Amino acid sequence: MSVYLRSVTYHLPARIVTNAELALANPGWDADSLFRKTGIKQRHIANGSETSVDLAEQAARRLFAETGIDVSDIDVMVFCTQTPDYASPASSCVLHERLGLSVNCGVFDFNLGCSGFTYGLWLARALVLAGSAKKVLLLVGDTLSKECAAGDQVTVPIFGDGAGAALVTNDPTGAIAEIGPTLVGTDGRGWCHLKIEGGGSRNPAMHRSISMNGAEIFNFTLTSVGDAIGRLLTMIEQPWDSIDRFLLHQANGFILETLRKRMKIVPERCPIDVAETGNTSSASLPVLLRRCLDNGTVDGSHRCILAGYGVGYSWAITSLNMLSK
Amino acid sequence: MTAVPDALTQALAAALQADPSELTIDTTAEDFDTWDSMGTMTILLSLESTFGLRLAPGQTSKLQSVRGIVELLSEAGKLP
Repeated sequence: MSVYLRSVTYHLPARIVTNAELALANPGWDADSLFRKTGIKQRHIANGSETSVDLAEQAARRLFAETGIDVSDIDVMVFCTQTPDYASPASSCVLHERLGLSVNCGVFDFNLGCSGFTYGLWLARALVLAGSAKKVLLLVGDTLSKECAAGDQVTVPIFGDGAGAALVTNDPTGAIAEIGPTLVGTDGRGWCHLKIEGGGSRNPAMHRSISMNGAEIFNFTLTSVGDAIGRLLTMIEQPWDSIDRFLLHQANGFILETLRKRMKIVPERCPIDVAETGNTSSASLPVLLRRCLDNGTVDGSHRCILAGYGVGYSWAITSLNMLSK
Repeated sequence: MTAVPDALTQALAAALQADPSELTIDTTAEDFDTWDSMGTMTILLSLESTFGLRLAPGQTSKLQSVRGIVELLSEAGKLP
């Protein structure tokens, strides 16, 4: 039995903040230097009242409009976010109401960051393979810009906001890709290097603010991601040169360029598309995949690897065989 | 005073865009604007390419000073 990706799309907030605006607001910051260090020119930032749920709703509505799917046919909806609307209930319940999903549709949240989209594909594919669902709506979204401390040079220039949506199904009709196996992994020793400590039960009164040990995250990425991709390729019995496109979580330009060189992949096979969006956490892979489909970087003949990795540490590497329409 | 191996001085100077004469065993990240998060990542890459040093999780905290880096290299057997 095969499982298919029917469609993938995304939504970004309308407000754009450029490096020049950041430099203006933060004495000592330089717009050109920010670009040289991160490969990011601008990022989309949610406004004060705009949340991950709002962004995910818009992404889902775009997917519905593009596919013409009957929303009552969706059996399961999962929402990956680190920035839920409420501690309880799950934000997926709020989205269930907004999107008019069936009462027979199971929904739940899961909390992961940059590995969230590929973890979600793994989960959705498993649900379909198990016969538990025929159509799974995968939503991912974060507003990490709201979690960055004002003036923090490590996080503010990097993170943008956004949401992604994908429909996973057992039906090949109109599908854009066949979803292959996923390799997942975790190294809990790294949980403390990228975290939002405040606001949870451990530190309820602490101000919510993301802290990132950039060097540790960089070291983890260089030592783990290429190895994980290699192990997936071994698992699916494919050599590196059989992969047309390696679509990596768009962390920042420096990390991506270093990782690409480490894996000895030419730029054409490993697109870097972080300049206009920044690091959108779990949304980065659906944003990248859709933009690559729209601009022809990925087409219906390609075999792709999607690599999500980050907070946790957590990673999930998925293979996609693109299909011609 | 512990001497800084010349190869390390050169590697750090290149990574930090600094004059080698400015680097001593007591130099720390606070002494250079370029020794920020990105500078630390560049140092990490430089140590790998120059000395073949690979860090385990949790070890990057030692990349905040020349002394810490010398300790890392010594512990890994990368210095004579």
